[in-house]
Amino acid sequence: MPLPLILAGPILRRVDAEVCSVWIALKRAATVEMRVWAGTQLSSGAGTVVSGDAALGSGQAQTRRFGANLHIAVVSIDLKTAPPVALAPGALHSYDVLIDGAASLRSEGLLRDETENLRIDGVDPKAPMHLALGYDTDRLPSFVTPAATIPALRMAHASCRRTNFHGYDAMGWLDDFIKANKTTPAERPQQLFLTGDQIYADDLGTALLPMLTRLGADLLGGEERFPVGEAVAEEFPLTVDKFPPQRRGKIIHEQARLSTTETRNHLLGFGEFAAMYCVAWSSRAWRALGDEASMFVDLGAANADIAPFLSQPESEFGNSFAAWKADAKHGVVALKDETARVELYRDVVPKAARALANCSTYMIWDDHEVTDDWNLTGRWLSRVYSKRPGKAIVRNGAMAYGLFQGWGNDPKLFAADGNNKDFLDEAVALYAGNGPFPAAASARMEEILGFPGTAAAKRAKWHYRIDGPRHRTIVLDTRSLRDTGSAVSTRSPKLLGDSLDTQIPNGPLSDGRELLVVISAPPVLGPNLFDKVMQPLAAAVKDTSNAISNLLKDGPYVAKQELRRALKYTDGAEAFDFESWASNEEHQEQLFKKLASYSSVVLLSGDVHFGCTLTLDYWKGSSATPARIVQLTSSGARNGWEMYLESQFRKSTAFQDLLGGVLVERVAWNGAAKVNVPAGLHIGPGRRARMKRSPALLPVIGWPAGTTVTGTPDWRWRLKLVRDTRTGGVNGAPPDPPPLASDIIPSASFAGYLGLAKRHALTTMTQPRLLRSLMFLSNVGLVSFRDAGGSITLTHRLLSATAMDAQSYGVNTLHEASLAPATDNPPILPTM
Amino acid sequence: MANEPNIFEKIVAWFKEASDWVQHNLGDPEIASALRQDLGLKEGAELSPAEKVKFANLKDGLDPNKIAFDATIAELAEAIQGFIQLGETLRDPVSGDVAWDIAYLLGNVALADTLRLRFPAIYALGKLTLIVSEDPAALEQFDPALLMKILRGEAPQDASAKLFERVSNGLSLIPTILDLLLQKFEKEGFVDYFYGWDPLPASPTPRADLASARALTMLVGPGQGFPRAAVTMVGVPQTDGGPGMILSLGGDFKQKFTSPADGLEADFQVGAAGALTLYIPFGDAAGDLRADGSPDVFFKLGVSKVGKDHKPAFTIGEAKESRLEFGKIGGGVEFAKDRAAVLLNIEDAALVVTPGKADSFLKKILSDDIRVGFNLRMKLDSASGLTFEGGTGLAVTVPIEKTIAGALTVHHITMGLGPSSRPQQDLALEASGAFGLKLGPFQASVDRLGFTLDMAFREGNLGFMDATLGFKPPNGIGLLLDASVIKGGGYLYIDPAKGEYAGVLELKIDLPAVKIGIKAIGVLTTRMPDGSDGWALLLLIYGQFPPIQLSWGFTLTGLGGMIGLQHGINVDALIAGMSTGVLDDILFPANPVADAPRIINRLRTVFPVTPRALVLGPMLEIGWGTPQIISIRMGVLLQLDNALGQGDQPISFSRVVILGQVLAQLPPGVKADLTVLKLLVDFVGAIEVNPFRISFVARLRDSYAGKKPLKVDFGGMLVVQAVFGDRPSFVIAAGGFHPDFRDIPPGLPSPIDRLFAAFPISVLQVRIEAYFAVTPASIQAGAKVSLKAGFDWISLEATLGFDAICYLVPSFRFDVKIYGSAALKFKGHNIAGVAFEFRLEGPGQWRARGFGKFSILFWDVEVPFDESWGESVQVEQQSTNAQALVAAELGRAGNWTAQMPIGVDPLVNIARIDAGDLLLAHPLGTLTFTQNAVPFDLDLQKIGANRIEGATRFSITEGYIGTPAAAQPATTLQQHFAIGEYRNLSDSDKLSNPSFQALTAGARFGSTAYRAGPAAVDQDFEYETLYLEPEAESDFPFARIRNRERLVATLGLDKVGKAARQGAAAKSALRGDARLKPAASTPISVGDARLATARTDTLQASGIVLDRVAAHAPALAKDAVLRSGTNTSVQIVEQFELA
Repeated sequence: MPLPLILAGPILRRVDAEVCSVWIALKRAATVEMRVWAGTQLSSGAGTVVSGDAALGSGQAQTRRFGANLHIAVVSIDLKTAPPVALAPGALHSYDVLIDGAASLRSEGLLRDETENLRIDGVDPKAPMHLALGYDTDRLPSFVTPAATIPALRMAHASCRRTNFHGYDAMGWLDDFIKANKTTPAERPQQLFLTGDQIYADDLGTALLPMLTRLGADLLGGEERFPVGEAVAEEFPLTVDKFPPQRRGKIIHEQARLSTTETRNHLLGFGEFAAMYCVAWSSRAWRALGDEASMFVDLGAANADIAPFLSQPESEFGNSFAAWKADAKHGVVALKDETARVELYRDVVPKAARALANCSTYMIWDDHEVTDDWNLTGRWLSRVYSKRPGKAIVRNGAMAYGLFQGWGNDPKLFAADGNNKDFLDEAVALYAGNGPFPAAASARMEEILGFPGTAAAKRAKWHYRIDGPRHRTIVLDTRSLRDTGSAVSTRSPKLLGDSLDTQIPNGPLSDGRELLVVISAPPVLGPNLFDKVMQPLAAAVKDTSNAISNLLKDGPYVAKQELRRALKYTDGAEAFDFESWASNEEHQEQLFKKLASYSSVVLLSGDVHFGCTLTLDYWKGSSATPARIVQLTSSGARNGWEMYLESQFRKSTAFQDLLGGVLVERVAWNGAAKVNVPAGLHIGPGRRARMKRSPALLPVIGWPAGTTVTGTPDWRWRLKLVRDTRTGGVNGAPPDPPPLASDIIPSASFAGYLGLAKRHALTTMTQPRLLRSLMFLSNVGLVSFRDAGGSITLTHRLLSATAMDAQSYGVNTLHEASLAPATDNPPILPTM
Repeated sequence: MANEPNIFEKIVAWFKEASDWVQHNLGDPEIASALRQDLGLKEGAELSPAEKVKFANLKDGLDPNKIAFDATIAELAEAIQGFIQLGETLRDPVSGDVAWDIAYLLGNVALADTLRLRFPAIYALGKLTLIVSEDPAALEQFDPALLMKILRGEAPQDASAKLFERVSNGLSLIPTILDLLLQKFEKEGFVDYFYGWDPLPASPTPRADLASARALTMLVGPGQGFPRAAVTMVGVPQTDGGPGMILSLGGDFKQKFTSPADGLEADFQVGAAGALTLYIPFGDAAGDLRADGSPDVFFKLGVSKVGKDHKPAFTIGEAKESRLEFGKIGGGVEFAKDRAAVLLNIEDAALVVTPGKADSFLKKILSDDIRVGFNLRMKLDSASGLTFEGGTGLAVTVPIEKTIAGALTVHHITMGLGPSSRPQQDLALEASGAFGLKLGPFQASVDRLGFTLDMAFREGNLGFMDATLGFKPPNGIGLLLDASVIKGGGYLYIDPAKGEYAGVLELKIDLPAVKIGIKAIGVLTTRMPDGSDGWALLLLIYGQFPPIQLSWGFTLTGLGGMIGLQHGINVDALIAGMSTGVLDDILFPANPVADAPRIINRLRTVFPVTPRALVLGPMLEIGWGTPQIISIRMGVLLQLDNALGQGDQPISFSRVVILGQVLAQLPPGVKADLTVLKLLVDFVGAIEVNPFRISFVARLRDSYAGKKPLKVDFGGMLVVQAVFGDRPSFVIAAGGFHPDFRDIPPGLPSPIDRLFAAFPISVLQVRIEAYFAVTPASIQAGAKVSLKAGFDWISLEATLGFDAICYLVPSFRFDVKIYGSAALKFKGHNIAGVAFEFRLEGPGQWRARGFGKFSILFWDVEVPFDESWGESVQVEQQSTNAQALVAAELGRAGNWTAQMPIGVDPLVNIARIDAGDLLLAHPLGTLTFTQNAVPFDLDLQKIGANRIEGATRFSITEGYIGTPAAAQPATTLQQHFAIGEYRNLSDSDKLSNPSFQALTAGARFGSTAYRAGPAAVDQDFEYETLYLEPEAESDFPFARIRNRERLVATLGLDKVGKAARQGAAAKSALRGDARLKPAASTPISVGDARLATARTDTLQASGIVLDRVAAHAPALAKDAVLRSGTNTSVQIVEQFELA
């Protein structure tokens, strides 16, 4: 199959005081050059512009080969070597990419809208139409550098792009927003943070997989082999026939021993992962989706060798392949809806690609880049990393992350001698030649990727920092440096493990910087209900329901049976992803303490499939001035909750209050709590145990009368969920309800109640109902700041669909939070 | 079945079994077999030798991949801790609720993962128990029992609003469950409901909103095209005349018509709320049944037209000409009981200008169609008037890309119309553009430069309207110079809101004869830090050129300078910044353009805006050797205060600062990895006038000698500081201070890096650290050698060192500590180790103490010792008469000053009189006496090294002018005294307390009391009630967000007066009680918190009373506690901390 010269990209990557860089994937080896100009520019040829302006600077790089037809480069302009390059802060700049000095974005057709009659060379007729990267014909893609002041800083963030979810991809709205503000540097996002789950390796449309398997093979240009068992012979070429869609579950669960829920279409080979990234970011990589024959593959005699390792869905239909295909719920017809959803995803890719080309983009992995639950618990680690298929999936997924996402975050790190440079060299070696792949032993790559048992000094580093003129951003790696406890542990991991200090140095900031921004894929702060109650409860209920029958059953204790059950059934934590920050309270407090050494911190996160804003005020000792931590969550760009559940939250304000939780406050001591409960009064055992722990973290409510505290707690905090306080029904704000003629007069209340009952009925019948705190629909977040009389106020706008299934966005959620220290009193135990 | 154990007995039995199992660890072959399965090792399959090792390790209790040996141990320890706690609980008869406690502890024990493998049931139950009993904010307070009681017909005890809320919350689950069930059966929309209320932030009807929060409306019906019934239910609590319930019935009908052929859509809805409303009382006392039948009828109709096949619905004009397009156009009407509205909605509309037939000017500047897209939503409402909703606003960007006169390129022009961002203005029109300017080799680009016109539709400067024209400055201007011989770039950035402008420029002149690099950084501030108008400018310019030979092999390679108008030098910030390399950014920065944001931020901190100050000074760069081996960069900066502008203070010299960097590198001019010697020293020296301070800090950093594998890193800091004035001190510290020394004078960098050398010997990492310091009372020195050898997880660490401190006054005394340790570690955890410490104090009273320690895994053996002998040596002392000293100080004219009356009309102005040596005082003013010789209100034990003769305590209590009869109480004044000069302090106090403490130094006489001026102005009170967040409620989850109202109320002074006279406080019998009134009006002053002594166990007052001096001096307070002999149970706290 033909391929276009530029497979994917350009994606604008790191832009700071030292480098200005772009990521690009080509089908052949080339020298790639990036040139940057001040202001907006129209291209007039390879590396020249209509205005005749000289480029501010340029940089070159040679692509590296990761497959016969997969050559990737991160090109950086070194802003520090002579002659110095001046990128004015907060100003608009344009760039062009030159390939071997001759081809450019213009000559490759990337600066105009593609039409049926004028397709880009090598692009499949089934691919969606590419859109002009500069928004007008021949205009170069542009970007705005980080602003010189905090009030002028503009950021965007998004996470979780699932191919087979319903509705529009919010990345398209980000593109709409940039387009609407393309000449307004003051509005355009200067940094885009993709906070994880850019691809769903485990959960993708069935029709997409055959396309990816074939595209992957074309990219590698040779046979890739995938192990399905521990024996060397148990290895097969990665083709649609050998590894068909809908039949991969058995490999995933029984051979690779992953705990992923969605397994039928899990990506396996590096080629597939690479192909998935290409189609997520580029219209030009698309081809025809899988047809019926490639979605329902009859194994037949030719595949008898691999058949024992594959799922046999037909076994549920009387071992009849035809009956499976004809089944209304699992057959051909049933996949139509899903395929339509994949097609909608595909059709927004040109916009997503353009947004990535027009804003400096930073990325970090979460679990779905590799597989759901990746590195979840000690048990998961000991299980998966001891299996060849498990190791192969993790290696391929993590390697693809490194090449497609990680590299551009910190190009200098990958250029300098060290583990990150070794990562690129090893990846080149693994896919050198014409197959079969991998072409070399992968032991060193596994060390670089930090497989269990690797010394820290041999691992590549995936967390990074970006310094802006007045802010510093720290992007956390919450996946590969976890402390998961013992090999049999199912406890919630410490997400940063021992690396907390290296990932986040102690504050405050120096050099006149005023704001710390921290990216953590899982939200550090979440609505209390989810983190502390719903997830653990669901996990515990699952475990209990598995085990309760045994508890009530009479009969002798048989160790073997009990144990089998244990291993089989105590999987609640895996089923419910019990890996949030809140689920390891001690580690979360360590993080709070670290963050509180900065006066104000903004956290950006994804992961949870809803958007919200929370504030945490943290008082240390008797200090009256708390640190302020503001959590902004935007998730997912194309993922969310099922409508039937989400609508219940909109229909009941009681649920909405429950979501936010009561005002959550904690007082804490480093040693045992200095709380004195009067003798003879009872407190719950859980509470008593909390008092004895170190640190002792206690609620302020629910203490018996007469309870006192000795001295000042070592620290205290208060968590608040931010509400949208807009009124008036304009620009996405919730509409005002009709006013009442009069309030309730207690002595003659009937008229008042009559009025409110009518108003309630009228509102229910005529007005849409919106949530003021949480957004469950697909969304992308915009973060802006403004000077509010000496202090800074942050605005978090979540763009979501104007109506169900609409393709235009509205600012249906707008949250504001001050970055100034709260003037509230710190939490205290109420004296009763 | 008498012998059948019950569930609790079963749990206990399992529990016992579990404990046995923990003791036997993982020896159970069944466990091994199951784990083998979990590891994927097939039953009966032959194992590879590597797997066998894994397996053996596993069986022995180690993890297969040695992942977390320590975590497994910790888990077991935790489980054992649970056992211990359980035992304690069982022994404690007073704690009550033992069953719950046991359940909890069992849960905890069960949560050990090692137990999970063996007892899944216990594990799962344990987890559930913990969640239910541990999270205090949630489930513990969930009370479903109440609802059950009511459903069973048991009458509630009280019919309060809260009870109604709880019941309503419970009942609201019914439609939720119904809705979810029906959705499961694909009956979406059959039941719709809304429970609760989302009040407006400033609702005028808070009570009704509160009641609405427990209102439930259910809509029942098949959906589109069928009528739906609406049932609303609200409970009426006793406080509102209940208990009872409002039941209101209504309904609506919805229909949608579409005509795909015409692209027409119509929505229609008609309905009524409250067709019948009943109040149903619960019981006889709750009033009568009432009914109402006055429905609120509403009607809504919307019609819209959508274009087909991506074509607009309507087009005004020809399809290929300039035209107005409407993608979708819609309109509607709404009627309700007391309002009517008309809506207009235009989406995907565009004004398209095609240059084809336009005039020649447009043709000239336009190459393509211009398309102005907009959305418009308009509503005319009888209640709120005409409102617009601006979707994307009205903005057009016209791409031009034309160059005028070969110099000015207009990239595009933007015209925008939208709501104004200025207060009290309605509409803003913005015209701006992006430009590029090219003059020969010089090129500049400007974003968004233009004008804004803000308009208000009311009478104003234009008669019928108010308009303000404003300049729209660009955010930044990029500059580029690219002539063949001169190349460079830079930019200006502009923040008009903050009044900050900064720019940076770097040029390289490259002629065959001359190669010069010029760098410049400028920061202009047009607003002072306090927000007032003013300006300040900071400019740094550097020129670097080929070496110019000076004498003795020195060459001049660069010249520069700095001028700061209205800027000062913050020496502390400069010294503190040394550790982050601030000098790199001040002295000939390498990349000023790329690093501009950081450099500018640093310059703002180090050279803060200081009104009327002037900073200036030259900088030079000197090299030595050919090729250059040593390079020196230096600057001398001088700060003059009050040098600029008008002011009443005379010009004064403030400080002089010398900063520099010395870099020696061998061989010169090679890459970093080829260098064998690099020494880099930063230094800052400063002489400051007020307070007088001389300081010098040098820091050796990033320095090394040799190459890998034998490369020695060096570093460390030297600090010299002399401060005179209020808290005089003198310090020399090379590498820092003794670890226990706390009295570090302010203004020193923190931390002071130890002098160190670090180098590897094969796998061994060696680090040697040292320090030496001299302070007014001590000499300190110390050194430490650390060795570390590491292999993957196992490491060996050893340390040997000493810390010594000698006190020179009052008598020579030393304290030396020698310590050492060695440890074998596995993944950072101790496996085995030895440690010792030996500490000797003397001479005179000798004390030797220390310990030796040996540890392996969890076992420690420690042998401590502490021996004292000898007697304290009495130093031969001379004596001083303190009284005579005080008398001499009182007689010294320089100790007396007079102050003008403060805050009150002096009544007269006094002409300047030359009074010679006499001190003149204003009759209403005050007279002050202070001295530094002897602190008052303190029991003196010595003065310096001398004994005291005669009186040892002095106080000033009153003063008079004229006769003693006119005596007035004196207000004491404090200054800092070196407490060690007057009191005998213990060594630990010397170390841990500040050397200088505030003690009484004199007193002020005269009245500062004065009467208030003219009568006060009357002003009504205004107050606002605003609850932004839900209150913490103890009855979660039934808590409702209440009182979200926002109300501004005015309270007239007459009402306030009346209320005050009528209020309970005014009528209180206590009001007449003279005891409540202060004896005299006392001015409020704020001082350091008063100290008190407290019992360590209860924090209640200990009974040891501190005198007024000790109450402010920690050392004296501690002394008082020591003297009382109860020091172990008493601690010093600030008085407000007392329990």
